[in-house]
Amino acid sequence: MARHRTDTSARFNEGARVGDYRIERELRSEDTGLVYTGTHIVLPRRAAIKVMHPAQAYMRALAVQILREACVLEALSHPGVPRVYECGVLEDKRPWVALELITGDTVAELVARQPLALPDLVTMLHAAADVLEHAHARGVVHNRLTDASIVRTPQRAVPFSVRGWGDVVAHDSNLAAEPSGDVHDLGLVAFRALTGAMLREGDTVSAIAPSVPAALATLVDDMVAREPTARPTAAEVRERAHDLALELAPASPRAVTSDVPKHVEDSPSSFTIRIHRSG
Amino acid sequence: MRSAHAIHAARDPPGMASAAQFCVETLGDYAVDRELPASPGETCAEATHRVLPRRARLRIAQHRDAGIRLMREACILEALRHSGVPRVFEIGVTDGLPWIADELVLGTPLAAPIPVEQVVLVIRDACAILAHLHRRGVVHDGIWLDAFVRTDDRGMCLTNWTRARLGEPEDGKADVHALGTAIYAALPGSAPLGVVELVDRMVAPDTARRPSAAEVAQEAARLAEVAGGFDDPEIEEVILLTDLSRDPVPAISKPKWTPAPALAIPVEGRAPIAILKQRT
Repeated sequence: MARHRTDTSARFNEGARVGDYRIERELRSEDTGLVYTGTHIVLPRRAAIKVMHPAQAYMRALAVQILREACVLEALSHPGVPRVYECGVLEDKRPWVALELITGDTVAELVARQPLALPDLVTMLHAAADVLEHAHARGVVHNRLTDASIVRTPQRAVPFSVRGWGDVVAHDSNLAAEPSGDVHDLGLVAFRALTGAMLREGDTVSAIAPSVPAALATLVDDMVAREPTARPTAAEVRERAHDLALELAPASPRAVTSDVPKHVEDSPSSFTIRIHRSG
Repeated sequence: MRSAHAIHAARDPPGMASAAQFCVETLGDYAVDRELPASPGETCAEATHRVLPRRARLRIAQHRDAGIRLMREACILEALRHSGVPRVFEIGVTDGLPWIADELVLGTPLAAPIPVEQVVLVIRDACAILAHLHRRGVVHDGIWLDAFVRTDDRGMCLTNWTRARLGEPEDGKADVHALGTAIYAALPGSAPLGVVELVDRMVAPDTARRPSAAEVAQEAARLAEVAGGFDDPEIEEVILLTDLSRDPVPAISKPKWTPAPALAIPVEGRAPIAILKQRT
């Protein structure tokens, strides 16, 4: 993998080079490594560059996990999942991965500011469930979905994106996790956004927040069910969120399911259609 | 294994067809699988990433001009970011010349004739991509039917970006004209009048009268919605309402055209499609 033109400092300062990326600043520290923002020196591209933490350089399993995350993300092709640009190894054998930089407010930040409007919450559920369905269908489990890993991305093709795939588990792993765990975690995010409280044994949305529409409360309660088999699949969550979106926003029934470019979708139709069956 | 620097490509002058072979076995983190047809001034190969589950198309410039063109193309593709535009993975320099690893678009290039039930969908999807790049001031400048590839997983994809450049939004109408010309040549014997009229407008010599890609996409989306029954085998007959207020055939001796109540256009293997007059 690419080793050229790379600084090998323990922590990278502004202007340092990792592969063809110039480091801008340190973004956050994760279990598996440090995440920086960087700019490609030629392409109009900003990236989140994850570099294995220097203190963990001797831990081969973590190095493998960083590259595993990159491989899994590369295999997922969904607008709500960050793309992998490239990966490499520093001179001291620490791996690095350049990922698409997804910027925006996390659900945690949005909720901290003010409660999420119900249509926004349903849109978030729909978008996140769509990502999870895509991943689960390919044998991939996020494994650490929190309100900090769901980001509102109005500038992207999907209203919410899911990041923080550092603990991702694929179906071929010895650590195989249940997809229903992701649904439970998403349910917890929705529960907290709706009620403002952490889930405790026996709590239900309808009991804590009776003003929440019954269908939404039931959906979230089902998602956080104690028994994994009682939880809906991600595909079912997406379907039910879609129906809820139609209920909550009858004036814009396709707001959530937009797969047609906006400029196409927004155009008023001057045509009418009548379908006649012959005979 | 040869190093990335062991390139045995002949250096063709700009604009000359390339006869060079892709003689590198590895380039960056990619292992070359097989050679592919290349644009002039480049060599091209299919390759697999050594770590990521990724197959890519590698292109190496053979001379400086081709290198500049390659880098410009990479920057444009990177800036566009659309599901109908190939992704750029990486770029690099080997032996003093740039190379690019971009997405290997797998699918079926469009070819003439386009089935009647697909024409409007092709126009809609193609113009949605063109509208995206025109809004960002990019002109493709190499539109032809086989530049559009139908893929299994992401719909239509526009390839062949060698001549892409920055321009004014109005310059994008050249792309619309090129697409209209290509569609016109690929139209089946009988096509819905609404589609024919739309293609006529796309190839209008007067750019002021020619619609933008966004307008064409919008119009085609409407027509596709109306003609949605084309793809539904359950529907045996579709009443397609369109504007027949003007005579599609120039009237010579007729003082005034009286619209027919119904005009049946036969479609291969299907019941006739009745096109009726609509005044809105």
